[in-house]
Amino acid sequence: MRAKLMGIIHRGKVQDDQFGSLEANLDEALQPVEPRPEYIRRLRYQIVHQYQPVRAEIRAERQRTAIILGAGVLGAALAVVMGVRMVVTIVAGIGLLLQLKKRTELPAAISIRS
Amino acid sequence: MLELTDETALLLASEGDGEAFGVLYERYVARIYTYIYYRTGNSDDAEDLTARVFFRAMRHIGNYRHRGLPFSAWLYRIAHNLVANWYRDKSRRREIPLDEFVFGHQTGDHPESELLQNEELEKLLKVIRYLPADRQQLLILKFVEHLSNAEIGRIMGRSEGAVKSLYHRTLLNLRDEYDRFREQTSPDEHYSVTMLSGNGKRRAI
Repeated sequence: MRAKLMGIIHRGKVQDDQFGSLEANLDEALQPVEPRPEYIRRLRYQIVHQYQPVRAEIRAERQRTAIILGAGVLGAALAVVMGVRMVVTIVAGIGLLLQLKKRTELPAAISIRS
Repeated sequence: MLELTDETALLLASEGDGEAFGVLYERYVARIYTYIYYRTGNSDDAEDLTARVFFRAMRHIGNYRHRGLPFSAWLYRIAHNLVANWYRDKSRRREIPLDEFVFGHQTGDHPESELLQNEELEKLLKVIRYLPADRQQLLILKFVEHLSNAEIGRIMGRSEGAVKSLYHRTLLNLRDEYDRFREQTSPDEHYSVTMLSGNGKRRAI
């Protein structure tokens, strides 16, 4: 058991050592790369000067969002009103039916008593 | 203007302030360029793709929502997707054999060409270049940007543990492939094993 454990520890150490040299090579090979200053300047100029149309796009996007939101709120309000009206109509209909039923039952009760 | 934090610059940029976006550009252009340079292997494509990353970021800055992730994570994500598209387009046109790969053989007077004179390091870069995309990204972020596993996890959308595990598997894979590459490449011999190409697809070289 102890020998097995020592073996695992040893293998781990060997592996760490191998990775250590690999990591050192990676550290050396992968160095930050600086782009050409002229390229950076040119691209910055292009980006900053082409930013105007994007601004208009953002505004248009916001307007579209506002319109969609407004339409959504209006639609939801309309749906709520329609729902309430539907419930009122159903309740009124049931009430009317009950009243009609009462009226048809009343003359029969009078005739049985007499 | 240069004192702006990322959050403030982003807010101003999303309001349409081009100069604020310019500040963000200056802050991150070298990092994105370096990432793309190591992914593509040449400065011309790196310049082209870096420009595309920032133009895409500029177009979609209005849709950017700050959710605790650094702005760089968003840029790296865009760069990652553009490089993947670039590989797809390139594979449709032509496959570049590993021995034609031009790391360290830069034309022109870029300072980076001086860094890659060592033959062993060139070989290592060639092998890295054929690792799957996520492993390349991990190595670049770790060794070029010197980011911690937690920071890399935030950029790659993985947990710290997953990054640690991926890093370990990457080193194992890289060590094996690098050893095989060194054994097989002599002046008259070509590297002829099956490896994972840069876009993550396995292919024979």
